[in-house]
Amino acid sequence: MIEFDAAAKSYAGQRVLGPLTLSIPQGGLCVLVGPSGCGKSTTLKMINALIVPDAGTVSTDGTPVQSRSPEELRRGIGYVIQSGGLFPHWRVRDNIATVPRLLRWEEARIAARVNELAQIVAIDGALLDRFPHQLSGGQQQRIGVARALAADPGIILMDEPFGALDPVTRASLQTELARLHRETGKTIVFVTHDMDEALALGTMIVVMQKGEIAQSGTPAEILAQPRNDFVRDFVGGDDAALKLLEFRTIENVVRHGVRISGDAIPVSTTLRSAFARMMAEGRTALPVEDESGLYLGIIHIDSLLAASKASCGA
Amino acid sequence: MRRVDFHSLALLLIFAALVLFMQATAPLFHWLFPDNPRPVFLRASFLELTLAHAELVLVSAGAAAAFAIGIGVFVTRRAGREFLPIVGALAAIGQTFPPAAVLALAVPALGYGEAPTLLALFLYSILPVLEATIAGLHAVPADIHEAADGVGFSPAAKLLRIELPLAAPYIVAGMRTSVIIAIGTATIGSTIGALSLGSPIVEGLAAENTPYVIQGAVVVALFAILVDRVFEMLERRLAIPSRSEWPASQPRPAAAVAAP
Repeated sequence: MIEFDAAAKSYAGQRVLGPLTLSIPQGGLCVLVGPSGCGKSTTLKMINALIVPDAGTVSTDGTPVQSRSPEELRRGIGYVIQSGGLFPHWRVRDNIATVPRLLRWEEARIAARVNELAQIVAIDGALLDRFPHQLSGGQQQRIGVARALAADPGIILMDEPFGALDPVTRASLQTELARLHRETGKTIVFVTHDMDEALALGTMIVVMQKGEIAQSGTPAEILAQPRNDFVRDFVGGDDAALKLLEFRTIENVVRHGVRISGDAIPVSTTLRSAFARMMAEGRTALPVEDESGLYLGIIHIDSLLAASKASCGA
Repeated sequence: MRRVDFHSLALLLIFAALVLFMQATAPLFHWLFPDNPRPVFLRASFLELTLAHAELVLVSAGAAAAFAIGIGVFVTRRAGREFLPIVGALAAIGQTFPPAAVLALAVPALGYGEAPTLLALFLYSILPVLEATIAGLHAVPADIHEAADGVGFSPAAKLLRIELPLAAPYIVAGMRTSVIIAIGTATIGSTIGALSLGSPIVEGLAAENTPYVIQGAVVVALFAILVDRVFEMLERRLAIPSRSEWPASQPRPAAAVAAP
């Protein structure tokens, strides 16, 4: 649980952030999203006290971050930055071991943990003895994630971690981050300016504008009910309806009926994939089966349209 | 590191031979300067001269490096940042004083001999290391600072384990410059009575004994070249395996610093 209570920050008399009140639940993957200069990174850095608010408080698990020494606080919070920020004079192995060494773990325990982390972030063990510059951008970012996870912190902060990667590498790291989040149950705060990345990853999205929260909520809420024009534009205007289809499955749209010809789609298919399938096949109805391959019924394009309209309008 | 290169090895052997057996060159100098009754410098052995010279350089440049690194670290910390401009200005002024002037001013205060020489060399050796330390610490990329702070390094641990190692190639390049300058400048110490490889040069000039000048100059030049080679190897070893934009080293000082 991370809580901002009226936290604000000014530089040279110019208010850049807040007052910001926000609560990020335990185990959530909260994405702070917005254009450059909206204060999303500033918000993130208040959590590990790299930036100290002029007014208000930020607390993790009920303890104000200012009540602890910055070093102690930060060793308990994973931190990943855009460039990776790996120490160029240390081998990958030592980069991953940074926080455990600061916490004075025994070397045997550190070595075991490093090997374990290499598996978690899917890095070949042979890379552990290389230097950061010998790795690709994607590999460096995996090492950055491994370093953040090393001492098993409850909170991970990620500041545009995939911003500098090519689209393919970025998509694969997004998938792995989502998996990592499911498997570890850590609270992750993720900063990006890419709304699609936010929608792909977040369990909670905070759209920021000019140092304030424009809207926060689940991806579906933000897409379905943008609070103002800024949010509406940021989620893609009319495209939001298309994006929203990603967040619902056809489960409640299936109608019972006589089996029609063609390959059946599983009931866990998203509305979006079902639409895509219809377009690709040039059909207005598709057969549906459950996970075990049992025939369930059909979906018709009219029900898809009705369902999409319902989720948009609500 | 590379295998020993034969060029450096040959220079080292010539240097060692000259230092240990300068007297063996007597026939050569007799032949070159037939009218000169004493063509080889004998007041002290060249081994003695070389050791005294090395001691002058080691003590003064070593102390200057320690001092300069300390000041460089201080003015790049938050507490000392406001001193950065004035420190830079003072060090630059120190560099504009000719060494002979420093010696002349130091003699009344410290007397003849080693002490004023050490002072002059010390003052002279500060600036290159100071500039290199400041440049090296400033060259640590902002994202590395952010990552180091973000993972929870204390300021002291960050300095020792991240900043100084990353600045080390710069600092060593600065020390290379300062040591090479000191090796050349130390010869001037002999004008005020310090024993060094400048002694045969100064005596040779005073007594119009050209062979002495040649002997001192050749040995001190070889000494400077060899020390420069050692620093070159050290820089190569310290080079940070890193991003392509990292500079290999600062501009190289000219190696041939012979007699003034």
